[in-house]
Amino acid sequence: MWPDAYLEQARSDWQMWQLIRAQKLPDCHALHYLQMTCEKLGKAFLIRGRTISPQQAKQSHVAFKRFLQVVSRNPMLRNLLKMTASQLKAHINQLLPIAETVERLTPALAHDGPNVEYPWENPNREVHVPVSYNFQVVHELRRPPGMNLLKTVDLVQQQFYRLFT
Amino acid sequence: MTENHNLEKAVRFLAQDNFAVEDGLERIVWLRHGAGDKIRLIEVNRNGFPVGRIEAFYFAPFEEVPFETYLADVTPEEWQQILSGEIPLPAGWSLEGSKEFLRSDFEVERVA
Repeated sequence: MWPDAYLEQARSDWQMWQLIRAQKLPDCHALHYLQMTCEKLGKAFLIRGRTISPQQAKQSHVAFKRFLQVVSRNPMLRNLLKMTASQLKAHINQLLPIAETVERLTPALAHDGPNVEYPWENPNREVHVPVSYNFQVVHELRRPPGMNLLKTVDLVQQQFYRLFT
Repeated sequence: MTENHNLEKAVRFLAQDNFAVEDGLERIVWLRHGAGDKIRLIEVNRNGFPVGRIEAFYFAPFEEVPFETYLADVTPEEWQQILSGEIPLPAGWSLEGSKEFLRSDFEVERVA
């Protein structure tokens, strides 16, 4: 029940990411939905593991990146993607840095640095605002590893029940 | 072939496969006590991300491993904390009768 609930919300966040990124709006808004998609997907998989409660999952960090690390060991995903073990491992490895960058866009993990919700002050005491900040990750998402991350986020939502129930 | 034999065969398949895929894995611990026909694994991974507790991910049964699998990645430091009791095992999990696999148990061809 709880994993389904997190998946449902993640899917809606994903739709918002797709909708907003197609608009001429500040990048922070679309990135916010992408970050929330990854966060909720990671937590859906964690809760499905039945070792932590939904309450504990709320406090869990970089769950999606950790999920990606573990899922590279899933032979069923390998079969689904028609990849060899080495291909899947290489595929996942290229996604990990950008997946972590996306997950750390939340204020809770940004440590008073760039995030998609609140203004922050840099070490030179300059205040930045998410709506006018040039997020490097936007450019990374247009390159092959970033595009592959987006494809993977889409895929695990579609194949959630096949892979994880 | 007995259910236990099939379970052990599936665990060995996963362990060998996972050692081949993840070169940071130092050991894989199969927690058998009270697991029934589920597979519970703690994988000690130098490349893991420390979270200070055991958080398992679930894999659905499939052809080669027709059992529900729960896989928790921990760092070597966390593994020591699990052994000392500083990090508790999840409810229903036990190290009693557990079986460890090391990389040297398999002739593993490392995946680049």
